[in-house]
Formats: sequence, structure tokens, C-alpha cells
Amino acid sequence: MAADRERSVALMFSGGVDSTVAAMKLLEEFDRVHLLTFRNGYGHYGFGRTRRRVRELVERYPGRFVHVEESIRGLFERICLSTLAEDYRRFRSAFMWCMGCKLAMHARSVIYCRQHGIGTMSDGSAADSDEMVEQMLLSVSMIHWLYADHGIEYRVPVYQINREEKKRLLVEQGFFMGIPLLDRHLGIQPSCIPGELYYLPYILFNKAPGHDEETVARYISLKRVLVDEIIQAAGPACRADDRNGA
Amino acid sequence: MAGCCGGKNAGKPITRGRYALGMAFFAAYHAAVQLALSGVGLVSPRFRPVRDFHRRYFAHLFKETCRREGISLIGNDCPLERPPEASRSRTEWPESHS
Repeated sequence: MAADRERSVALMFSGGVDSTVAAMKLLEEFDRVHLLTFRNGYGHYGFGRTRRRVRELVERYPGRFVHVEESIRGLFERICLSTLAEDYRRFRSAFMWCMGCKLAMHARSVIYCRQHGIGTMSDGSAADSDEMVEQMLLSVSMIHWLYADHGIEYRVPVYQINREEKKRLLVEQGFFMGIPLLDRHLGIQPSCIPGELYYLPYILFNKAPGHDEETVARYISLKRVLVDEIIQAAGPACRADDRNGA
Repeated sequence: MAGCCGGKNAGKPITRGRYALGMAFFAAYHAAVQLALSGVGLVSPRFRPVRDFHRRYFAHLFKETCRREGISLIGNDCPLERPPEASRSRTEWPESHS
């Protein structure tokens, strides 16, 4: 059973360039990859794009992927929206929408891993997207400790891979690449209106997003208590002999 | 802004045309979202805090953008040849974590 556990991994999956390459990288080491896709219920749309990407992966690697798509609306409301006005006054930035959403996804991922006996979690965080609050090295490090404290290893398999290299890998394998715009590809993963609004000044005017390391660290630390409570309330991790390794 | 978080393009100067077009798009997008949230807020109470939050955020950001805070225009202000040092710092990801 222990061997089964080691062969399964979970991956937070949107279908974008980073998470698709991460999925393929994980196949080099694991037998099965659980692709976790979350919807927060607030201007987060286009999940058909993720499902199309899953189909592409399954066609190329049959039997190697399990796709789970679910709503984290309740968690998102509890972690982020319930204190939105108060947090905005405190932090003077809207980064907490994106960070709060990501924390809700990570909380749900920890619960999923514990329920399914999966010992390794990963996502497509990338150093060349570190203007995004949840992909900053600091955020990734703090998330690493969240998983570690719940007995789960956290990996970021494409963190240091150059974006051009990742795109080349996908093009070579004939994946749908959507509509290229600057260094992004439109229509290959879900969109988030609040996220677009937050990064709009950066995209339009090269204006740095309104967060810094100290503020982000304070926010994550503040929410970490609640995240731990949510995870504990979801029940204990399954016993080793309950694990099916799938 | 502490030593991080700028992104690779932060601080790079833009043309006046891009600024003008950007402002139009920026204002239109936010206004459309505020309008939509106002409508949805009438029928669904759960969107009301979001609507109020967006209104405050948009007002704050719009003033900042009009004052060109953190925005450099080519041939104006202090033209930057490269992003500020703060936005370029990046610590290598430890081998053991990757």
C-alpha cells in the first residue's frame, strides 16, 4: 500500500501552459495524476477549456489521469469574502482576492489528499509568473509549509522551467494553444474577472501589482489559522490500509 | 514596495498612446463590472459585499492611475531603461523543493 501511495500525486490543474507541462512532468515519476480543478463561484468561468485539455492529456496518456472538478465557493467565502472589507482596509490592496482564492484551493487540496491517501501535491507555479501573488517565491514557500504541516509533500515541478521551453513542449505534442497574445495564450484555461481586474494595471500600464512580501506574508499567516481549522474539521487522513493508491 | 513582486515588466515606460488607450479600456472594463455587480446585487445578496468592495477598489485605483502613480511614460517623467532593481530581485528556488 505504501508503494501505491507513492505512485499517485495530485495536481492543481487549470489546463494552462504551466499546469499542463507540470502534469506531463509528474507522469515521469508517478503512475497516476489526480487533476484538481476548482471554481470559486465569483466571476470564474470557462471550465470547458480545462475539460478539453484533460481530454487531450487522456488521449495521449490513457489511464494515467483522474480529473476532479468541484466548487470551492463555500471555502472561498469563508476564507476571503467574509472579511473582504476589513482586509481591504488593513492591507490596502486587492491581492487578497487572488491569495484568498488560492488558499481556499490549497485547503481543499489538502483535504482531498488526506481523504485519498495521496502523499504528494503539486501545482504549476512558475518563477516567470511571479508578479502573480500566489506564485511569488514567498507564497510558494508558505504553501509548502502548509502541506508539510499536514504530512503532504508539495512540489512545483515547472517552477524553474522557462516559459518558452514549456510552450515548445506543448506545441511539439500538438496541444491546442488557443490565441497567442503577447506571451500568453487565450482560451486554453478558465478566466477570472476579479483576477483580470487586479492585474489590469500591470498588463496595460506596466504598473507593479499592489502587494509586497511583508503584506502577503501577514495575510497568509492571518488566514493560515482558519485554513488549518477547515482542514481539521474535514476529518482525519485516511488510514494507510484504506488507501487505494488511485 | 518591498524587494519583490514587480513582475518582469513593472516600471517599464509606455507610450502616451498606450496609456490613453489603456485608460479607456481600464475605465470601461471596471465600469461594466460595477454595473453588472449592481444588477446582480439587487437579486442576490451574496454579491453585495463584492459590489461594495469593487466600488471602493475601483475608486482608489482610478485615482492612482490618473495620477500615473507607478506608471512611466516615454519621454516624460523619469524614463526608465529597465525595471527598478526591486522588481528584478529573485531568489533561486532551493533544489530540495523542486
